[in-house]
Amino acid sequence: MINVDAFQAAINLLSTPGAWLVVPPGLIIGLFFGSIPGLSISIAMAVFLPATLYMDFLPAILFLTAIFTGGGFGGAIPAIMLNIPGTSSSVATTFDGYPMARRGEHAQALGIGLVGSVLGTLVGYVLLLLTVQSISHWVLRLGPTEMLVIALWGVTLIAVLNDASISKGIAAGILGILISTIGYSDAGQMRGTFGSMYLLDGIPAIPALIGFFAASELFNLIGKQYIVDDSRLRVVKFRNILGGMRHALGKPFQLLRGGVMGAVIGAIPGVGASIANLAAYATAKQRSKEPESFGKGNPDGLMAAESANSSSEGGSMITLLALGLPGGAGTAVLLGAFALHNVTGGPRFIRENTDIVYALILGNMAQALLLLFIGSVFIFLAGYIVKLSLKLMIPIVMVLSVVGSYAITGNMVGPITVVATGIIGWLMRRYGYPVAATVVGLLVGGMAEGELVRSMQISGGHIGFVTDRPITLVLLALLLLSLAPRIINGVLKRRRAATQ
Amino acid sequence: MASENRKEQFPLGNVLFALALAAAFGYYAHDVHADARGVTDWLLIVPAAGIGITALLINAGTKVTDWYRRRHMPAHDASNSTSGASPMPAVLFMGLLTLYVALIPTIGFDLGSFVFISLALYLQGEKRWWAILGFSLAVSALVVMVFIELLNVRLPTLLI
Repeated sequence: MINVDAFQAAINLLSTPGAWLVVPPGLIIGLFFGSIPGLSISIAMAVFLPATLYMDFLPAILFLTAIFTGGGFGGAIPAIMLNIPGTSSSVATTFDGYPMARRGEHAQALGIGLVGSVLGTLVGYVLLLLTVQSISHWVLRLGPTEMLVIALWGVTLIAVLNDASISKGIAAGILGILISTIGYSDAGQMRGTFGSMYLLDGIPAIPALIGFFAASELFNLIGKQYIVDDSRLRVVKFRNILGGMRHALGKPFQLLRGGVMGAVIGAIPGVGASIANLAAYATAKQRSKEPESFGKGNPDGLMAAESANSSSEGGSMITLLALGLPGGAGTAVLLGAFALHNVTGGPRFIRENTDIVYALILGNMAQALLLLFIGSVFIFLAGYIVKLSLKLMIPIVMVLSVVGSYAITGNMVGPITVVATGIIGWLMRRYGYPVAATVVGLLVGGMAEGELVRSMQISGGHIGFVTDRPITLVLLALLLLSLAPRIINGVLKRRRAATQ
Repeated sequence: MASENRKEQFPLGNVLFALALAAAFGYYAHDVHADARGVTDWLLIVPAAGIGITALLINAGTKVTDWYRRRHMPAHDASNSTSGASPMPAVLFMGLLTLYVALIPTIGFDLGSFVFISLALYLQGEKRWWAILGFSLAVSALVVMVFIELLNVRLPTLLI
C-alpha cells in the first residue's frame, strides 16, 4: 500500500524549513478569500499562482494547497453566518449551519465546522496516502453511464434532503438542470439565449449560486435588525467555539463517515465535491434518531457536510495526481502550477515521483493541523459578524456579490445573473421550493447532458446496455435506496392527512 | 376573534408560480426541440422539462385540492409556505438592486455602488445624511479599489 522508501524520502523533503514558510500565509489567504462572498478559492489561487513561479515545486504546491485548504474551510464561514456557500461544495453547510447562527449558536457552529473541516481534510489525505498508487485504475472504470447516474443522484438527493414536497424538490432540481443547458449545445445549437451573445457560454454557475442563496436570503432579511434576533445571544466567546469543537470531537464516527464519503465521492472528476457534501448530509439525516431536526440547526448535519466537503479536497487530489485531471476550479489552478513547473500528473508521475507525491500528501495533513490553530483565531474574529447591523451588512454583501460576480465573468452577465437568480430564488423560498436543488441541478446539469449524449452514442440507444455495466447498476440501486424512505414517508404522510 | 373567522385563502401565488414555471419549462423545451439539429440537442431537455411540468402540475393540483378540502375551515397560521410578513420591503430592495445593475455600464461600479449603498441605507431606515454619505463612500471606494488594485480586475468606473 505504502512505499516505505518513498515515504522516508518524503519526510526528508519536508524537513526543509523553507517548504513550510509559505504555508501559514497560504492558509490565511485562503481563509480570507473563502470567507468573503463573491471571492472564491479559485480566484485566490489564480491571483497567487504567478507568485509561485520562483518557488521550488514542493513549496509552490504546498502554498497553493494551503490556500485550497484554508479556502475550503473559509467558505463555511459565510455559509454559516450569512447562508452564502462560498463554494459549490459548501451548499449543505448552510442547511444546519445558518439556522444554528440565527439561533445564536454561531460560535459553536463555527467551532464544529472547523473541527469537521480539519478532520475531514485529514481523513481525505490519509485515504489518498493509502490508495494513491491503485486508485487511478478505479477512477478510469467510470464511464458515461456511471457519471450520468452520479449526476442524477446529486439532483435527486435533494428530494431526500428538503422539507418541501418531493414534487417541489424535483421541479426545483429540473429548473437548475434546464438553466445549465442554456447556451451553445455540443452540436452547436443556441439554446435559450434570446439571441444574446453574452449567453453563448451559458449561465455562469457561481453568480447563479450567489443569487439563489445569498441575494434571495438578503431580500428576506430586509427590515430585520440583526442576524440573531435575541441581543443576549449576540456574543462572541472563545469558550463557545471550543464548546463546538468539543461537540464535534465527541462524535468521531460521524466525522469519519462524512470524511470517507467525501473522499470517495470527491474523487469523481467534475461533480465529486459538489455532491459529496450532499450525500454525507443525506446519510447523516437518514441515520439520525431526529431526522426532522435536520435543516433546523442540527449540529450533526453541519458536521457531516463540513467533514465531507473538506475530505473531498483529498479526493479531488486523487484524480489530479493519478490521472492529471482537475476535479474542479481549484485543482485546475493546481494543474496550472504543475505545468508552470514542467510537471504532468498521471500514473507515470506517481510511479516516478512517489516521494514528492507523499510529501504533498503529508504536507497537506500538516496544513490541516495548522488550520486548527490559525482557523480558531480567524473564526473568533469572523464571529463578530453577528454584532454587525443588517442595515449595514446587507448593502456591503450585495455590493461584494455584484462586484465579485463581475470579476468572475468579466462582463455584466455575472451581476445580471445575481439579480435574476436572486429574484427567482426569493419567489422559490416564498412558495416553499428548495433553492439548493436548483443550485445542484445547475452545477451537474451540463455534465449530465454530456454523459447522457455519450451514453446514447456508445449504447446505440439500447437501454439494455446498462445491464452489462455492474457499477452503473450498483449506483442506480444506491440512488433508488436513498430515495425510497423519503418517498414512502411522503405517501404515508399524505394518506394520514387525508384520513384526518 | 377575527383570526378565528378568517377562512383558508386560495393559494393564488403558489399556484401562479407553479404554472408560470411549467409554462417556462414548456416554452423552453418546445423552442429547443423546434430548432434542434439532432436528437442530442434535446435528449436531456425535453424529458426533463416533461418531468418538471408534471411535478409542477401535481404541486399546483395538490395546493388546490388541499385548499378545496379546507376552504370552510379557519385559516391555519403562516398559510403553508408564505411567511405572512409584507413582501414590500423585499420587492423595493429587488427594484433597487435591479436599478444598480442596470446603471453600472453607464455610471460605473464606483458611483453606482455609492448610490446603491446610500439608497439601501435610506430604504432601511437610516436618516442621518452624514452617516449615509460617509459609510457609502468608504465601502464603495474600498471595494472598488481592492478589486482594481489588489485583484487586477478591470471594473468599469466613472470617477476612480
